[in-house]
Amino acid sequence: MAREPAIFAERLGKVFRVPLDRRSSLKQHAVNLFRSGRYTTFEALKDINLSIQPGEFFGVIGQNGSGKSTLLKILAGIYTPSRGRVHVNGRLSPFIELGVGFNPELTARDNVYLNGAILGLTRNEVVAQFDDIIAFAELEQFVEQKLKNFSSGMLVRLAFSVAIRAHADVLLIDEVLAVGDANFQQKCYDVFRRLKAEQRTIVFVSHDLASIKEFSDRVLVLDRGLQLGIFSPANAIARYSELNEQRANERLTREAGGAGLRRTASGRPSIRSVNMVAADGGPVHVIQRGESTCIVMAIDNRQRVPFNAGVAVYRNDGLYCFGTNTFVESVGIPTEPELEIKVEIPHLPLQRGTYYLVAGLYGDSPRTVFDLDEHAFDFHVAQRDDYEGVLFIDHRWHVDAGVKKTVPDRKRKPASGAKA
Amino acid sequence: MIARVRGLPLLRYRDLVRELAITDFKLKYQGSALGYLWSFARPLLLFAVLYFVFNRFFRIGASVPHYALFLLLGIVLWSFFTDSTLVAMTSIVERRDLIRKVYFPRIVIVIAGSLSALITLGLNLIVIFAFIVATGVGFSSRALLFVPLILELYVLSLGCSLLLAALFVKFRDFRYIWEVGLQLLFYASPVIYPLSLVPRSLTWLFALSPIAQIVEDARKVLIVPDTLSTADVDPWPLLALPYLVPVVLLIAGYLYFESAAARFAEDL
Repeated sequence: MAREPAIFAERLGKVFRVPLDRRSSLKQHAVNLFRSGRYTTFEALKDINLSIQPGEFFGVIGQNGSGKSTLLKILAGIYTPSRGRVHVNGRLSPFIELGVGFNPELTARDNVYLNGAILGLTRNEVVAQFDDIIAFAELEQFVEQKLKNFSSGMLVRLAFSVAIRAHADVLLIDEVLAVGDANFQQKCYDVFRRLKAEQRTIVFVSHDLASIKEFSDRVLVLDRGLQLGIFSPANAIARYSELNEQRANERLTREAGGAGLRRTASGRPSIRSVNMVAADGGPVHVIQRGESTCIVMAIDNRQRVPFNAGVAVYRNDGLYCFGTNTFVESVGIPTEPELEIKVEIPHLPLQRGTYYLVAGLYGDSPRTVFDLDEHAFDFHVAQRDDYEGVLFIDHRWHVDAGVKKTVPDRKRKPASGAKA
Repeated sequence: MIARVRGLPLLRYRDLVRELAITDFKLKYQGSALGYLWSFARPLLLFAVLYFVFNRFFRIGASVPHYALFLLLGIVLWSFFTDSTLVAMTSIVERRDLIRKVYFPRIVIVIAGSLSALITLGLNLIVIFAFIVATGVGFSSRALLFVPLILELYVLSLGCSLLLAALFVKFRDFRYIWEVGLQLLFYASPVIYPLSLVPRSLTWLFALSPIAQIVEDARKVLIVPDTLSTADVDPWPLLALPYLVPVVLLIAGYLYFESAAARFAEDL
């Protein structure tokens, strides 16, 4: 028998009006009375459709500004939707963040009572659970201390400890595990497992893909207020990574203004543009590690001056990854007025990160610089695995039983150079 | 729309109202050496100044029996009205962090603020009652009528508070408008002087104010039974006005507040 969904949303939309001139005084209102208020609208959510089953652990991921928090706030009742409808079955935790209403001037005890009341607990319920709350937060010695003397870790522990007492059927959780040490995070995960085992419905918004993957049954992927879909955790994360690459590519293309066009006025050879292109020929700012790519330099040489060319790859923290030029490789360049030099890379070995290209044109020695572009092209390298380090080094693992002396054992080596 | 428990939010949220009221009260005198004593000291100091000025210089006191008690009662009731409305006006804006992150009926904040002011009023009334006993005025059975008067004062304050709190979210001018308005109202109400000192031709006008009615009625039931009250001077249909205004303000305030409350989280 199909149960009634815990959360049901249909064609849900939210539009914010953003005033261009914020009127917060009467005079401004009076002056502008006969002009329509100038504002732009911002569509934070467009056409969201959800049906979350009771007991489901429902993840929500998306980039900053994709509408995750707006969605949670609508579910919590903090915002009213502009379009569509939402229905929540059962008692809802009314909060989306930890420690809401904590007052630094009050003691931990007073704050537990206040925060408990904000979360909908009665005073008797807080009284009954007070010792447990303090014990879970490991703050027994600080009960009568004012909160302003607490560290951020202590605050989060206290807040989380109160929050999990809220007896809601539906919990909305926004980025709770951002703070706290490993030990406390472990505790939080234990609570998540327990809540999940208790068949409570949880909507969990996070950037932490590992916890999304571990706990979620299904995951909603949001992009700029649009529902990209509801997927299994693995598929959602793949879709999200794809989206990140796409967005990064768009951003870099925009920042580069299409392609890196430059001009130098002198009669010497000059770099017109430097691009990294994919197999299909278009400029590409995000490349998968191991894929083939090509660096293309367009060069003007109207005076037909003989020259050499060089190109280098730097990581965005300044690490010099690789460099080569036509001197060391003895590549001859014809003295044509316009030409294109391509450096083909069959397998890009760089690991995940942001990199840039440096390109230069030289005379008959690297000391004579005709043109140098020290930041010619930005690109990201993405990878789908979890190898670490700067480069991917091709490798094989061999595990053999017994002792085979491929390499002499160090310990047995006589300490020939032992310093006495 | 989201299904919410309607009807009696106050019943369901009474623990939240109480915690917020207690917090407000605790924080009010946080860090001051005298603490809660200021609840008594503030109206008493105002009383001392006004008593000195109006009893010694202007000799109003000479024509009013038990002028000290008369003045103190007026000031305590008036202080409740100003304190509760001024605190309530900014309460929504000051709790913006809460409003943006948690759902609960927003009216809870205003009611908690007014209850916190009511605690202070209660403490001040203890002083008044002590004075009444000490000066030998004593209590008659008419003193029971003081209870509905306090209720009326509370209704009036809450109505103004709801209107001001919601208006203040949009128009920060109300802080200044209301401060000036309170000054005017203070001198236009028989707080430091009795209604009987108002020129005959204007008495009916002064008597339209619910503040005038509450203060004079309170004096009538607690101190001097033949105090001139608004009901004595207003012509028939008008004498109901001071009693109706608080109720009308509360209804209007509630309706306006509730219509604005849905957008507080976005407007703040």
